[in-house]
This record gives sequence, C-alpha cells and structure tokens, in this order.
Amino acid sequence: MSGEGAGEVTIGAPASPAATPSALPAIEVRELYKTYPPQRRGRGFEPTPVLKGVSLSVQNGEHVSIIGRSGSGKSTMIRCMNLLEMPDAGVVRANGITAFDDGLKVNGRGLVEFRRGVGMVFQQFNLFPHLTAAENVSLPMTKGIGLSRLDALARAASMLRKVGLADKMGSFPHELSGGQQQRVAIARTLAVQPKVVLFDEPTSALDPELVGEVLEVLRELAGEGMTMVIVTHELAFAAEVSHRIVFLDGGEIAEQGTPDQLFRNPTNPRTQSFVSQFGTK
Amino acid sequence: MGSSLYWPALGYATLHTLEFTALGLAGSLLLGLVLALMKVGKWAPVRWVAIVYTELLKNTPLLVVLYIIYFGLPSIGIIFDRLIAGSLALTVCYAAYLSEIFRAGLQGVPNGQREAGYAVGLSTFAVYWNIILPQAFRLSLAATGNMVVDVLKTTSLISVIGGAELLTSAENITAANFEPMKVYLIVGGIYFAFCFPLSRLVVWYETRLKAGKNRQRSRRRLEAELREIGAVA
Repeated sequence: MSGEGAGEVTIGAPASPAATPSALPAIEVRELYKTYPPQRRGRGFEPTPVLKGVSLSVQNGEHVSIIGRSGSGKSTMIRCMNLLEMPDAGVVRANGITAFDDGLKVNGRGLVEFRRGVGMVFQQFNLFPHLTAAENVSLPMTKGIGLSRLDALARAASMLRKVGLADKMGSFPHELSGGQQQRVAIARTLAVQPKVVLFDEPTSALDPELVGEVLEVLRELAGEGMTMVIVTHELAFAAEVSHRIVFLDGGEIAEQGTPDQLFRNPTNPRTQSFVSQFGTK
Repeated sequence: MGSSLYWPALGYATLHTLEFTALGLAGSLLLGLVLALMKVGKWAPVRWVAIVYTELLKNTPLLVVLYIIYFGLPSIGIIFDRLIAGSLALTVCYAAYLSEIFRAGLQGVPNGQREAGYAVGLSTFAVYWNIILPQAFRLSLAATGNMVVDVLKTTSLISVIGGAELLTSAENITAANFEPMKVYLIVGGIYFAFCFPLSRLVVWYETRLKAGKNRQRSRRRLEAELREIGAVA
C-alpha cells in the first residue's frame, strides 16, 4: 500500500474545455412532467402538478443555477435529474445513458450506473451517522466500485484534505458543524468521480456564518471545470459562478439566461418581481 | 428420591431449554427480518402477505399454535418431532412480534439515508446492508433484547408437548418425589439465572452504544489504518 499516491487525487473531473453548443450535453432533461398525488383521498385534496414540461440541457463543464420561489418545483426538478424522484413523463439522460424515457426507466443495474455519473449534494447533508467522515467518503468506493478499504481510505483522505478537513477524518457526523458536514458530503459525492454534480440547496440548512466555507468549496469545484447544476437561494453566489441561470416558476421555466441578463435585464415580469425582492445587483 | 438425584435430569433439561431458545431465536430473528423487509418494500402484494401473516400470528396464542403444529398437522400427514415442533412454534410466533420491532427500526432510519446511498451509486442491497440495517439494528436493540429473554422464558410452554426442557423435567420429578415447592423453586431459579444476565447484557450493550464505545473503537481502527497508508502523520 503506497502512502504517497494519496495526494494525487483531484476532486471530481479534470478541468474541461469550454463548452461548445454542438457537444453532446453532459446531462439533459426534456419535457419533464410530475404531479404529486393528493395527500389524502376525499374532497378538497387535489393532485398537485409540480413540473409542467421543463427541459434543460447542460453542457460539459457548464454551471447552471436553478432559482425560484419555494414550491416552484426546483427541488423536484433536480431530484428528477438523478431519478431519486421518478417523473411521470419526459426524458432524463446523462453521460450517454438514457435513464428515463416517458415512463420507461433503466433496470436496477443501469440505474446504479447512471447515478454514479450524476452525484448529488443534499440540503440536509445526509451523512451516515454510524460512520466516521473518512468512512462516509470511502463507502461509495468500497461498496460501489469495489475498491479495497485501504485504497478507498487513501482517496477519501485526500478528498477530505481538499475540502479542508484533514483533521476531521476520524470524526463522526454529530461531532461536526453543519458546514463541515456538508463539506464531507461533497467529498463523499465526488468519491466515485461523477461527471455531473447536482446541488439541492447546499447551504440552506446552514447557519449564516457557515455558508461561506461551503461556497468556497463549490467555487473551487467550479474552477476545476466540474459540470454543476445548483438549486440555490444564494443569488449572489449563483451570479458569480454560473454560466447560466434558470428561473423556475410554477413548474415551468419562466426565463433563463446569463446571470447578467437574468438579474439586470429580466424580460419576464415574474422574474422581475422575484429578482427585485432579493435586491441583488 | 433424594434431591441430589434430580440434578443430572435438570442439567439435561437445561440444555434442551437452551436448544429450543437458540433454534427459536435463530428462526424468528431471520424470519422476522425478512417479514420486516417485506413490509417496508415497494410491492403492495408482498407487503400484504407480511402484514396478514403478522396479524394472524400476533393475535393467536402461542400455545394454540404449538398444539396445531404438534397435534394438528399430523392429521394431514405432517409430523414433526418435539424439538422441531417446539422451535417452529417459537419461530413463527416470535417472527411476527420481531418483524414489527424491525419494521419500526427500518422506518426509523430517515429517508435521506437511503437517498444518499442511491445518489452515490450504491445498489439497493448495498444501501440496506451498509447504511439502513446497521442504523435500524441500533434502533431495535432494546426491544429485540426483551424478546430474546422472552423466548427463553416461553420455552416453558413447550412442556405441554413434553418437550423434555426444564418445566417438563420439573413435572416429571415432582410426580416422583412430591416436592413441587422445592422443585419448581429450583427450576424458577434456573430460568432466572439465565434470563437475568441476558437482560443485563442487553442493557450493558445499549449503554455501551450510547456512550459511543463502539464509535471510539472504529475511530481508533480508522486512525491506525490512516497511519498505515500514510494519510496522516
């Protein structure tokens, strides 16, 4: 077991060249529809349509932020992108795998393969409480892609160093702050080297003073050219790292464009009222 | 018959009691886990089979189940010896109780844990084996421990089919020496001598878990491994 190799692992994918419009998208959803069934049977309980035909295509190395009010379908949309949530209709495709096509989904093994290429970071971190930080990061490698425990730990250690947690490898999640937990979660997501990472409100559960350290890791990841889709309420951050901003409203994409277009010159009145509420830029 | 004479019989009977306990426990833990997994699964027909089974067995006296297995089944050509019949009765009944404990444990693990497992590309089996079951185990530990002790005590019911365990043996001895008070006190003491340490063991293990002793051990193991691969100084 060589000890030196541990330092060489890069977080996520290597920096990719600037996206060209003609390239095959890294991840793509087309005409997604999703309706939640009524909470209970009976009068007054109606099915809730959440996604009404949203399409999004993200190029390799592109950073796309999805913004919108709560209840606009942002989380459902991003959860459909790695099929944690099954759409009712539409197409979900990433890294050349069509995982969902109008009700037809890939089989179990295909789904596992698909999800390995599409990482996700959750609002609530969802670290495994019975495992140390290093084991949280190495579990996907040992039980998913069959690395030996020590090889996986070596990679986990270098991942944790990269997110600034070299001294927390043996800590359990309950011993870590929210910001530290989320950084472990990011390292865990990158452990199996996904081509795309989805972030579902990665800073929304954090105390304000801990938001910065997590955003710093996201910035670094963006700088390395990782393909990222981010659902966020941090509009300033979204403007800073995103190539494109998508404004979701009532289960539909109301407007999308560069941060400049969307925040300074929104054309849709709904976007205007949303953006002005935040008073960004 | 002098009192020294029935000790060998009691010793032998104790072994039988432990045999029934071990077989009944092994069977019911396994079947209980399977039933619990069926109940939290996504296929409705499978869920219903497990639910109907649980309700049926949970609401039928064990003694009746034992009679059905040992005295009833032979009439349709299915004959078990006493050891199998007794263990089977314990298994099918306690599996029903345990499945409810395990189901609660499984459902007590937040859904985000499953999602995190799937999102990093783990199979359903890997998610359950490495993430859900270890956490569900901790959640069900106290209740399961009580059931373990309960199975041991309930083996005494098997005396109705002459199971050759402690209570059967006690009945045979009192029939010969007419000292029921003495013999049943001794047998009660033997049950207690096994059940009490077992109860304490469960409590001890729970306290240990709560105190994070196991966590400290896995932390030390991890730190040694990290040193071994040179990931830390």
